[in-house]
Amino acid sequence: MIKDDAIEVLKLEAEGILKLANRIDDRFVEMVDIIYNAKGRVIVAGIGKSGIVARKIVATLNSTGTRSLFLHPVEAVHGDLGIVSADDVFLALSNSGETDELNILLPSIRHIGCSIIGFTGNTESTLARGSDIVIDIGVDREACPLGLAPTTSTTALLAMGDALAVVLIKKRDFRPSDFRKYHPGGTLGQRLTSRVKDIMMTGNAVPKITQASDMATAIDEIERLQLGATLVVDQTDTLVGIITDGDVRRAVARREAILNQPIAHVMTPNPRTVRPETPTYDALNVMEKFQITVLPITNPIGRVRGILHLHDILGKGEFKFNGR
Amino acid sequence: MVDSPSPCPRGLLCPVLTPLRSDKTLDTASLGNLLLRTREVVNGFVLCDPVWGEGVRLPSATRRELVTVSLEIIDGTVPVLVTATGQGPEDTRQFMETVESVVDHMAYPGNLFWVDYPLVYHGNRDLPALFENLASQTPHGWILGNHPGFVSTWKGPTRHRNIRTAVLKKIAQNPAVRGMIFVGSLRRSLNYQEAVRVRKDYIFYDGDEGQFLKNPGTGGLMAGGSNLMPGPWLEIVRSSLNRYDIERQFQRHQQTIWELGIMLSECYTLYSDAPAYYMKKILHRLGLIDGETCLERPKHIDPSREQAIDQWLKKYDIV
Repeated sequence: MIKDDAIEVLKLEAEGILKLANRIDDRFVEMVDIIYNAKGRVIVAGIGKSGIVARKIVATLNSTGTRSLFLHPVEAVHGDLGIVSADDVFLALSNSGETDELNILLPSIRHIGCSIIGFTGNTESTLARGSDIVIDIGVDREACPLGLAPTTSTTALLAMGDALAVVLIKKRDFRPSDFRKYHPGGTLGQRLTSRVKDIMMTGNAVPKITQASDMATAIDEIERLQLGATLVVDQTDTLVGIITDGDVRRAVARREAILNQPIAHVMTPNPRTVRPETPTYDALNVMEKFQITVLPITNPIGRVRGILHLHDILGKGEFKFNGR
Repeated sequence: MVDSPSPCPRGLLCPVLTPLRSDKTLDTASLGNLLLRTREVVNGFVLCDPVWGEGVRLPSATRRELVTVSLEIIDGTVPVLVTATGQGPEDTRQFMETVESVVDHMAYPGNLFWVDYPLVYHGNRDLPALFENLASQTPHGWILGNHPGFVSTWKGPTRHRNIRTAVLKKIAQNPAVRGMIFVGSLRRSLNYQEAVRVRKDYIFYDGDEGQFLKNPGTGGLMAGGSNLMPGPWLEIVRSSLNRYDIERQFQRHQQTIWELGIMLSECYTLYSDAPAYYMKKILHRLGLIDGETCLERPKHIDPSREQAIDQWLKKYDIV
């Protein structure tokens, strides 16, 4: 009995979503165009279970490159409406379309001048009449006995939100420029949103020896550029390892005659790398996570393109730890 | 019989290309180079893959040499999946015996699995019995292969291109069969997953990297592109299988993944219609293998492809 009931719920919810697929029409396309072309954010509002779904839609949109904010309708009428601007798109969620706390906002939103999209199960409702575009998320029946809690309808709302987010990703054609457009930063942010290639050292400024070199050459190379490390490459300039001050120190501590050691014995093979296009912030994260101060920079097939020192990130920009 | 089942590798599998000299014998130096540059990165290797490794078409002696040299180089560092599929059941069985004896002789220290694309030489009928029989001949686990595209180009004895879902359900009752490398429609992949639902340990690897980039699975990926760029492919696969942890580590992770995805999908379009042929061209162009010989030239060669490859390599600063 319990199993049958559970199966029934899942089937009802699945059918609810499948029926939405048949209702995707030009209005959905128009909604996507409006959001895609909007200069502002998508403000999502709902109350109760729809409010919880609204928060999830906001999270999904934000993590897929569409800036979005949740607006609680009750807080909105007590001043939070100020966050809405004419460049935004207002997305209102209500299965009945008659949620007073939500509908009361519509005239103000209209006055601000942003587009209103309604996700509702009742296309004749107040919300539907007050929206520029209505997306019908109506379901035939809820899965909860007596309709005590919205079930199928909230699942349908959630699925429609996912459909919107995924379509927007595809419409953006995975263009990083679109992504970056929505991620402005402050002073530190500007520094850290640069790419590694903008600040890495290249050419002769990269300490580098071949696998066939001896340890004396390695130490000279570490000394020459004062970065505390030298990269080890093969004959195709592919990175095979790194020798750091620490590697040398550890070899000496083991009382090894370090100058007679083969390079491969002292170096750390396959060190962590990032690519020239990697955001500087990510490079900093890698350094912090793995407690390293030097990162080799390689192209997608492992050939050396440069080297990045922690000081290049922190010391050459506007940002300094001492605040001066 | 599986005595002590080893866990199937999760994550990125590299179907190793078979580098050939101009006389179509195995180029062991190039093979060594390919394996050494990827073995620290990938989660497993697939040898003699019918598409990427030109496995079914390779002469038995070449296949044997390929497996022997590869196992010596890989040396147990990562699991190895060897495609047993031959041109017929007898050919398949003989190759299995050969490799089993090589493995025993070497006392191979790593995990080994067999892969078979049974529809190359056998119809859907009696497939469960075939795998009962194959499993009884080896201590190693089996991974099924389903690749309708390849099977349709192969003039085998069967008209079936896909393993029937009901047949898979029966095969999956055999604990020696541990997973599947899947190429096919999204609908079929969902049906297959449903068919093996009772097997919690059954793992699906996407065999089509283009499909994985679009709708990633949760078991793993066999990506031929990892012959060229193992690091970027691993990043994509790890991100798909363990997304939450990675996002916590890197705030800009998604942007990085988007950019990687664009690069890899652009690369995929350069080789997807004749994988081994074009991938060998790219690797040769980069000096990673000595020649670009394939056993067979594809029927249709795009005359503008070489230029497209050059443009792509320059665009991403690879040359």
